[in-house]
Amino acid sequence: MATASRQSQRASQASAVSGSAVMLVSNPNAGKTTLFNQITGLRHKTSNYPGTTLDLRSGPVRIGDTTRELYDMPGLYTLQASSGEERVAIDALAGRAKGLEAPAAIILVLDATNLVRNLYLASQVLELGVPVVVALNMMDLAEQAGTRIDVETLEAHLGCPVVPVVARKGSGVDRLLHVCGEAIAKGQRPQLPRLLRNAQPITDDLRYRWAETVVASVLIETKPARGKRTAALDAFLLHPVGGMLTFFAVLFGVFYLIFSLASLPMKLIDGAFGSLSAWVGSQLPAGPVQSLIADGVIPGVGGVLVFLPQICTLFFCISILEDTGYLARAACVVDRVLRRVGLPGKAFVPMLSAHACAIPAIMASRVIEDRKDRLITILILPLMTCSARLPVYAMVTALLFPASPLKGAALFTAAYALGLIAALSMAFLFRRTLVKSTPVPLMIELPSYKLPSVKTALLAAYDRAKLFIRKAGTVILAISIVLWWMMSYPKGPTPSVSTEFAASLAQQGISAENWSAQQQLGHSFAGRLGHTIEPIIAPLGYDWRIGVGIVASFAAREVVVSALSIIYGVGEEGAEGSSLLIDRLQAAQRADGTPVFTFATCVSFLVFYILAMQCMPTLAVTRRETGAWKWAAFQFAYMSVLAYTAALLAYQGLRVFGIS
Amino acid sequence: MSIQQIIVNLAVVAAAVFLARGIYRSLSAARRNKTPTCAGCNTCEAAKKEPTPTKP
Repeated sequence: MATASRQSQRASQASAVSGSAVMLVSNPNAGKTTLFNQITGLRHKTSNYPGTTLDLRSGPVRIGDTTRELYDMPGLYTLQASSGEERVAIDALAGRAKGLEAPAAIILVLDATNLVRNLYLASQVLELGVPVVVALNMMDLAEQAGTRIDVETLEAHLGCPVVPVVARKGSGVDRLLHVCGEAIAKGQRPQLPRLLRNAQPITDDLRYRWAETVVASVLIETKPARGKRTAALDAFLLHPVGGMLTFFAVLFGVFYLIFSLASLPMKLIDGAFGSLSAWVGSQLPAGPVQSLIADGVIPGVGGVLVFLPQICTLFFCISILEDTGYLARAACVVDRVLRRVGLPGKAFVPMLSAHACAIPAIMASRVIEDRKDRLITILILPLMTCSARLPVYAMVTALLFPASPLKGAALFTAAYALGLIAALSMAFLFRRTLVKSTPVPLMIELPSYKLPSVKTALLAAYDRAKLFIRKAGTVILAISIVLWWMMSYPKGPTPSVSTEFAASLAQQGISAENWSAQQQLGHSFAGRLGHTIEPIIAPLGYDWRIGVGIVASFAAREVVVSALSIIYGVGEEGAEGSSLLIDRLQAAQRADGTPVFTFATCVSFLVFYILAMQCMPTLAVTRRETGAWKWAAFQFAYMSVLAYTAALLAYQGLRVFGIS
Repeated sequence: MSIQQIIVNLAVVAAAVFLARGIYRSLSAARRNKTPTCAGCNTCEAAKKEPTPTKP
């Protein structure tokens, strides 16, 4: 809220200085956001698939002697828009967007590798009567593809300045700003091309005819073999069978990388937090503050931060895949499946975003024009594996396969696949029961293949790490403190253990200290809560302490890891001498001395967290985007029932086959 | 009550207030059709450092 008001304040200040703003306009995926980031020095998300920019974003920029606000518009194919994202941009260009003036100038970004389609939009932008400067982007890729563009001739056709740029490298950006400043100072409005000027009305056919004429006169082919490699790669990557196999192979490869690269830093972080906890325990005088820090804060925050290397590696890999142009191909492959289950093709972009977080994904579903299609997409999006689930998956994987990256990667792939299958199945069900209509197929532009930028990927991993650490230092820290308090109070009478009783406990493999700690924990608020819900969760193979973790993680999924870290730390005095999270969980025992985290319990726990709706902010954003609490409540209800049923079937099914 | 106990009580109250405020903000933002932020993730486009001046 505060940032929003700062933004509008800054926008109004910029307007006061300059008169009005400059707007970046282009087709989707023409490199507009990359250019915006280069000009402003900001770091908005960019990707090599269309639909990344959804709302207007802005940053101050020095053009000539004036500081102006530069706006990054969502991508447009035409100025006759149908989707929400396109309307945002058109309203802003026409000066109808609330709090924005009409632009002083437009920087029209054209993709040099795809001029015909880009010129269709150009023909409409030139009609607006606003000074236009064309940024001819991706000149390097055009040259690699064997084409050269005659810039002077293009300028003559468009009637406005054209500046070649390579946004990714920042070349040509200074000249672009200089030319833009001159265009604003002179008030240079473009002349509508003669072919269009004399026509009334200007039809789509005429615009395309004009675009083809322009391209024919400005494009010079330097290599005849253009596009052969792309076509060959596409033939394989878009193949119904080969494409799908490649998709799963890529997914598996990414997860294997995650486990093999992240295992060492994970062990180091886990060890560091264990040592810190022991050091604090030895330095502070015994008492509630020592217990809060050593048993609550450090295991709680450390338990989640252990998984930071895996999350960074995943987002590094996703960024690399985006940059290469592979993800758009994956969209086409997956679209065939989406359509069969009744999801609109455009649902792929939100579904992809949902692998980071369901909140931006639900917002990204605005790209879907049809309200019914959008509703189905919103309802199933939280089933996709978001980054908050990763610590839970990683924890279960470490419990089941501590020393096998290959098996770990297979389990991760299976977890992602289960989320996807559940999402598609629910979409299929909703399409045939709740919302009956025919989905709109996907129309997506396949971007050219590019060498990925390691810098962009490192920045993506860095941004994700920052957010993860911030969450660990705020929400998870606060929950850890509250949870520790709930597990430590009220204090019960210290149980006395006679020598005979201690001997009988020892026969069951339970130490007297551990038994006393368990009694105290059972007496606490969390213990009472856990015992109350235990009959509901016992059929899933969970003990009451896992139940406390599930309740604590209703606000956010990853909290369950820190909750279990605290619960089994507080409850297992000494935890057989180990301070490491996974060791503590492996050593955890039930009242009868049997281990808590058996194979069946781990699988059931994983299945529950793949499917459960343990995220309050997602429910809030569902309410916002659907306009009704009933859909948020429905989403929570169906996902909870689905998670419980599937976890029950997994646990009981494994037991039937003799696997405990 | 010992000083240690007072420190612990203050920390617990502060943490509980912080969480309650987060829940309230999230729910009230949804009710007023604003973008709810989850006090941590911030992945959403609108919650990034340059927020949106307009909504579609």
